[in-house]
Amino acid sequence: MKRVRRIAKRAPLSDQLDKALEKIMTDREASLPRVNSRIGAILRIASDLRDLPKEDFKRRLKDELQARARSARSVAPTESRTEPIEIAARPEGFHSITPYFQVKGAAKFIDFLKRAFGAEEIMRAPRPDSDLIAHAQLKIEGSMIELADATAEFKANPTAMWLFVGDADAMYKRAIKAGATMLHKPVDQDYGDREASVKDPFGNHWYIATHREDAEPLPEEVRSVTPFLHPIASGAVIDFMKQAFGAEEVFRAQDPAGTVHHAKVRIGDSIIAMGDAHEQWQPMPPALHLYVSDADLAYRRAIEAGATSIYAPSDAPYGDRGAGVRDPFDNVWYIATRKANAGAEQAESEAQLEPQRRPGAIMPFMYFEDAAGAAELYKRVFGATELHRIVQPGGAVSHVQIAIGETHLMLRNATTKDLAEYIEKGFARTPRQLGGMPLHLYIYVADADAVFKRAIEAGSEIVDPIEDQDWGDRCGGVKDPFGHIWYIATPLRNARGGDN
Amino acid sequence: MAEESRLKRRRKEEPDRLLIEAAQRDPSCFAQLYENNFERVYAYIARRVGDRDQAQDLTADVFHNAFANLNRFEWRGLPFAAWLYRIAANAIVDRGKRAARFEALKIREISEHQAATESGLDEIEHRARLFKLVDQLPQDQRSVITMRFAHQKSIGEIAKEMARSEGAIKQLQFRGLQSLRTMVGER
Repeated sequence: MKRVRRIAKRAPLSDQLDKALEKIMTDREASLPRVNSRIGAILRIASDLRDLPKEDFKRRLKDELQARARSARSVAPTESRTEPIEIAARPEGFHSITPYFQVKGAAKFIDFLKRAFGAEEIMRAPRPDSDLIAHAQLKIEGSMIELADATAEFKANPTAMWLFVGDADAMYKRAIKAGATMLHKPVDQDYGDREASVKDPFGNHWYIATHREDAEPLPEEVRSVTPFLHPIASGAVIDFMKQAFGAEEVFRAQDPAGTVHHAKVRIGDSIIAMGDAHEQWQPMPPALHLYVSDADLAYRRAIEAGATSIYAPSDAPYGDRGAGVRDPFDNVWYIATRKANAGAEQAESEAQLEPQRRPGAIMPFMYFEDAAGAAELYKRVFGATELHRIVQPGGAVSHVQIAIGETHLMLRNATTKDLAEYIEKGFARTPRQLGGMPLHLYIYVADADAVFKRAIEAGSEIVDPIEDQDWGDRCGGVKDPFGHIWYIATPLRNARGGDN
Repeated sequence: MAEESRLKRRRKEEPDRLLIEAAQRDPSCFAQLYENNFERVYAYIARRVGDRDQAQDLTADVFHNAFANLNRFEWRGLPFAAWLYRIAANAIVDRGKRAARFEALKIREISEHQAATESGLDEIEHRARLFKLVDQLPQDQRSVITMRFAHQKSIGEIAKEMARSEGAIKQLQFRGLQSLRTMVGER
């Protein structure tokens, strides 16, 4: 032992230092080893350096921030962040915020809401080829709610709602009878409500309340159905809502430790209530459909405030411009703006319809082994734009609707399970299954030669070479890699690739 | 002594105020605030979370959050770093929460004042200074120090990468640390 120590002392200082250093590098909890006094101070420096950050990390983060600074500057600098959101146009019966339930078994959920709360069904839109509900609207005690069957993309998210009714005791009993389970029985709360709580069979919480007449009146924007959040830290959620949507805080009860017991935030003409998570009241982040005057701006501000994009703003066929974001607290916001041409009474005369939906418009349903792959191909060859896609549980894409110019096409996957029966009965066949095509698509494009060339480059076979035709078009035929046959044409007077 | 060092710090932070106001008007000015405070925030976080990846993630969160909320920063005499420490402290708590997935605890926001007066801030300040000083080392020493400490490489690996003997690398490491000690001054 003594011998070893003597050798260590004789070793060069740089060796002695490294030996001690190796020890503190591998065991961060270890106290500084006893060393020669000449290297003790140096070893302390080394010990502090163990957390030295990587330069490339520092540089990368700076680049990220500078990129954000650039994009922030492209936003109009005069925009006020705290300006309350103006009450924007929206469909009849809606307020600024509408809770959007995503549930497994939406049809059953609707039945439950009718039985438990006397909900009135306004509309339901089934998904093509299935019993699942793509979208439904109901009214509970005069308040609009929306719902849909959960999908792989839009997962079920049980949520909590405040439900104001005339008689909380009676409604509570009715809900229990309809299959809800008790969270707590009706009690008089010190904030002036008679209140009970139930959990419905789909996991949602309902705080059924009657506001006592002698209590301080609630803000008028508290709707019969009002979202109730239990975030870990309400303050942070409120900050986000202020920054993203110009929310106004109308009430906050907070104790000295910073716990928010109750808060109410107004966005447009709706209120969101919240209180910090505690005991059995834990976060159940809802999806909220929010009407604003400028969906693009609200979307951008939400992203700046830390939300992540679910989908960027785009025009929906039903007359809204919409976007989706998930905020840092997992609340989902479907941000929408009523487009100017979407009339309040929604009476769609033929003239108001988009050309693709006017009488006589044809939308081909085309069958593929790989509808998503076909969509990519047509985007590349024809410059098609994707309108929407339907994803089956498990992730298979069953439908992709695309637009080429003003024509809509539905690309349908013939291999997803939901179509098995059709295939068996012979109602749906891909070109390969059929061994040919009984239908050719004749498509007009601005530059037939260019599109024809792109089609070939993308793996299509020539059916008819492109040339000037005596019916007045420059036109050629191709069979695309999926077996569909396209005649690609440009009127001769517009064609540039002709021989003459 | 403590009063004196606080005063010194105050004086040192004063230019931050101008920078904050500039960055509130023009977000591209945030870069300088970042340069001035990166090492502090990183040191603060690294001291509390052992894991390097987590420390990086949290540091990124803090600066993104600070960037997004800069317009809400109000000068109240506390250094800008205190605001960043507060964001960092809350981010660390938050991450712990998220990991524990909605543990039935009430979160307590850490106030700016708490963050600024927390113990160990002098230590953080010292480390942050040390991290910055690494940049001023001669090239060879700097390479060895960053490889050894930031990238956690062994002497053998560094020797191979720099095509030098292990003894030479140990020498450079020794000299690098010695220069840092001289620059930072005896504590």
